[in-house]
Amino acid sequence: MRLGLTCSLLMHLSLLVWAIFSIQQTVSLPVPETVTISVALVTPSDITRMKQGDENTKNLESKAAEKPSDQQSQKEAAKPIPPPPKPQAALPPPPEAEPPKPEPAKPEPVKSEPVKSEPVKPEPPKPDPIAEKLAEPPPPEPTPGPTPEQLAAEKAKAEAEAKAAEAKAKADAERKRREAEAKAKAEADRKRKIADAKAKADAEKRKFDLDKLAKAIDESPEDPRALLDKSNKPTGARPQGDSRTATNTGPSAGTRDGRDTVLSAREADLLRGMLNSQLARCWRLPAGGGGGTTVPVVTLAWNLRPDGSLEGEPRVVQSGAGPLSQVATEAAIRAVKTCQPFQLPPDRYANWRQITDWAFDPSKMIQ
Amino acid sequence: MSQLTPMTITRATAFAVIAVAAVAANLLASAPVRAQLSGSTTQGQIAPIPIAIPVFISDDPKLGADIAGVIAGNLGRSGLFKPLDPASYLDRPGDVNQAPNFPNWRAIQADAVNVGRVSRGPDGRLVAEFRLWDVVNGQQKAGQRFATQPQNWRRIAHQISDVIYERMTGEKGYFDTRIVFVDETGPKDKRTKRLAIMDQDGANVRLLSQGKDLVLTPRFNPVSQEITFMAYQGEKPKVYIMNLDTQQRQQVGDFPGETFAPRYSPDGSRLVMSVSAGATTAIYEVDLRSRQYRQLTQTNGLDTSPCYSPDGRQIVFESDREGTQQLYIMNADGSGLRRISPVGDGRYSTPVWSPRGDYIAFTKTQGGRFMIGVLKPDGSGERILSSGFHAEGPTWAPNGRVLMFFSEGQGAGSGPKIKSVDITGYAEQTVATPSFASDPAWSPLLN
Repeated sequence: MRLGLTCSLLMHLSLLVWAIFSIQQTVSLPVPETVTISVALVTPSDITRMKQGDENTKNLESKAAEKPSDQQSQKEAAKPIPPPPKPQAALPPPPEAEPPKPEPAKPEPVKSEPVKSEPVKPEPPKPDPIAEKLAEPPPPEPTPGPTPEQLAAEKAKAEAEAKAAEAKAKADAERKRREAEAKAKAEADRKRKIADAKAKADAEKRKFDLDKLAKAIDESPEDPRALLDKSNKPTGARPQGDSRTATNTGPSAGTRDGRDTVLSAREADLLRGMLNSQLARCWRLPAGGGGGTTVPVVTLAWNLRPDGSLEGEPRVVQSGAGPLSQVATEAAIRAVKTCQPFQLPPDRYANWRQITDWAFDPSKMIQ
Repeated sequence: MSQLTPMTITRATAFAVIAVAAVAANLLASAPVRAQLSGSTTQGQIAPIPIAIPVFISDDPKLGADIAGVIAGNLGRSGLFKPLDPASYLDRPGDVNQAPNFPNWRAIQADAVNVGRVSRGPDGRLVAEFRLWDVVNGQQKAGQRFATQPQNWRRIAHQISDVIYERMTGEKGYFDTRIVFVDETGPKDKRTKRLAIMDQDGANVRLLSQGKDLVLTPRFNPVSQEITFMAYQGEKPKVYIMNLDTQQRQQVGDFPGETFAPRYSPDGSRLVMSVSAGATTAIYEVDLRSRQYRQLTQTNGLDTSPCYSPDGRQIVFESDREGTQQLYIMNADGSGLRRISPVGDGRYSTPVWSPRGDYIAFTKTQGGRFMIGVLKPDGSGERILSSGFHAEGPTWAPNGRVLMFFSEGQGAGSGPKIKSVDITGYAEQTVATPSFASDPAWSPLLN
């Protein structure tokens, strides 16, 4: 009994804790997008992304060259340019580097992936037959859209026939392949998963029993889930993927809760500019701030709430010694305090929630 | 039971594990990928600090208002403060030991509020105390108590001003100081020039000479209430020193020729000055105790306006040895001579080393205009702070961030007036004097 009680208590407690955290989380969610601001903000980063997605841009090429596997998958442009490894330092595209898993359904990437990056050549054959048959019956849950299937179907038909034997390897073989693929490639696109799922279906289709197929899918949900899980793991770290695609732009870019966790250089500049313009109005120095040859530079850090107000006190990251620095520090803190709440785009809260180091440097004002 | 227990355990454990896992997963999932923003602000508002200085709490309302008025005047003239209009105050402090009602002061945009009280002690002395509050942070920034003779109430106000100034700007104050200057009266072609002294804000003017002889270039001893100046004795200018308390004067040295442009060493024990012999004028150093002297420069022209660096190791002066007046620095023993004024068609004169050591102020003439400026001791960073038809004779406030000089307008009825300007060129204004005034010299802090 006691044990039962303690266990029950434990359960309830943990449930409570869980509830608390979920509530907190939902609290931050309700701040959706303020229309005007989000428009202003989104535009530049969108432009960045569009550029990234553009075949003609050099940046893209260089990026693709650098990181063949990941980028190829995410960008159509990557396919045509498979081998050329250009060791360009290029721009600062780091954030994109990760593969965008949540991509809806682009047929091309599917092709490209197996061709280039895959050392193991298991996939290509699978997708076609399944796709065809699947197109007709709606049951297959994971299938994202008809396009990929059709395309895949075209290619795969011939291959599928030839490789019927392989297909027979059935789910096990396929699973192994998938695993191998997943390991080999950082990419875990849905397309792939879809393809895999289809491949399984194909195997069953050989029996030409649609019902069975459907049943098989229903009964053996492990496979698709497993696939999803795999894909989730690698991609989970970077939910930004979807916002990367050229097609997915505008306010919808970003994670489902409306937060775009990508802090592109351009967006950072934008946020920086917004903060700076507001701080510049609040930061007041008595004529010349000393006027001597020593210029006190103060660096502060502070946190902000979603409404732009100050959370806690600003912290001094760096400051000098002596009365001049003390005054400068106070002036900087006063600037932050009098400036809040800051007017910043709510849908980018994640990006401006923490100001980790902000320097107040009067040297240009004095001389 | 014994059989049930394990069942319960496993089930409960399973639940617990699931719950914990759920919580953990939730935590992990909810931890957003936080972008950390950093940057900098390099442009702000250069604006005076808004400060509220309510009337001091006192049994004598006039005295309370006078002290607050002197403080507000000092801070306002500095250019670094903007004393707020008392009419805008929403609050009237009633107790110096109580924190003011900050929202009321925030509402009028004050950065700081100074609450004070002045009263008469049992011994007849004035006792003034004040607390300076940071309105934005709601903290006391300074608090002090002074006691003095009633007639010295202005000095209390000046000293409080100094504390506020130092605490709010990080620089030493300069309000509890005096200015010695040449008071000029009479028509332009026949001016009477008398030595006078006043508080830094123009109050308490007192004459030090009666105008029988022409006096020029008074300079303060940095460590005592003593000045040196040049006065004409007959046709020849001679250097004197004068004790400000006794007003006794004494000639320095017994040189056959003219002596002028004296200035004290930082420790007050020596003078440097120009001594002319024939067609040339060289710089000499005179020990005030032993009265021994030595020549520091060798020249065929005119070396004058010498001034020590704050550490006493170097001397800056002007010389026309290269044709036009330029600035030179040498070691205190006369060695290591080098020119510091930039090459160009400007003429530089009356160099004065800042008490902080970071700048040298000068008078520059170029294209028929006079300018007051500063440059660094290595000759770089020249900056013009003021210019006009005639401007001359800069002198530093003891904190090295404010300059006074005198300038003269064009026209028959015009005469010289003393001006002050911040080292950054801000807040130029005229210092109130009873009549025309020239050749200001700033005293060290009185304490």
